Amino acid sequence: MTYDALLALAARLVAVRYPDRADEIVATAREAGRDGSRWAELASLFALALRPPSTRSVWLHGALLAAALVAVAAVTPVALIVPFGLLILGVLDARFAAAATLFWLFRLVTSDLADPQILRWLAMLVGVVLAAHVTRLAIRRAAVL
Amino acid sequence: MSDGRLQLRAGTLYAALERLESAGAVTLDREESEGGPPRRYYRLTPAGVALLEEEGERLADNAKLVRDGLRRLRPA
Repeated sequence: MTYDALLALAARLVAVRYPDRADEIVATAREAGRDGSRWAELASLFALALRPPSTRSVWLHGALLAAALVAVAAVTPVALIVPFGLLILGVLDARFAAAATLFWLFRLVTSDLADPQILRWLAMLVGVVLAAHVTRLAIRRAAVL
Repeated sequence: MSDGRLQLRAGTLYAALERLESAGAVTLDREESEGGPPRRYYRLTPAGVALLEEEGERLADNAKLVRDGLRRLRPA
């Protein structure tokens, strides 16, 4: 995919988020990118268009994703490895980390306390704490974008 | 305004503008378009000026803290 195609995609995404000023934003990025930083400007457009509008939306989208994952995990245990991927993506976008947090939290509170596998329970607890921390950092970083 | 010392990516700039607008710190002053996409100019509101003063003082305090710390580190 060429730079122009990616820029067109970014412009469409920006127009969804900022319908009244998309032309201005994209023109600014295009102009600023003339000094050789066009890829960085392009990346900043994607970050602007895809950033969560509020902390509440981070958790809302995360909850929807986690609910979908819970449903899939009920069918196939392969889904249990997905949260690890979400946690990695969560470094870039807090919504993924929030989904991992809520998924592991759900698994934690619904786990059988009589289960002798205490290590598994502890691993989930560590996962919840770690994912919550990543979510918090990603939200904070998005706030200063 | 910053004599080129501060360079923001477009995404960073418009995200900041959105935050400042919603905080009531800046407001749209005028719009111009000379054959190209619209160009908007913003101005600080009184609340924005107060915020800027507060931030300037905070940065000056931090700078003073660093200068004082360095002074203590240097041999007399």
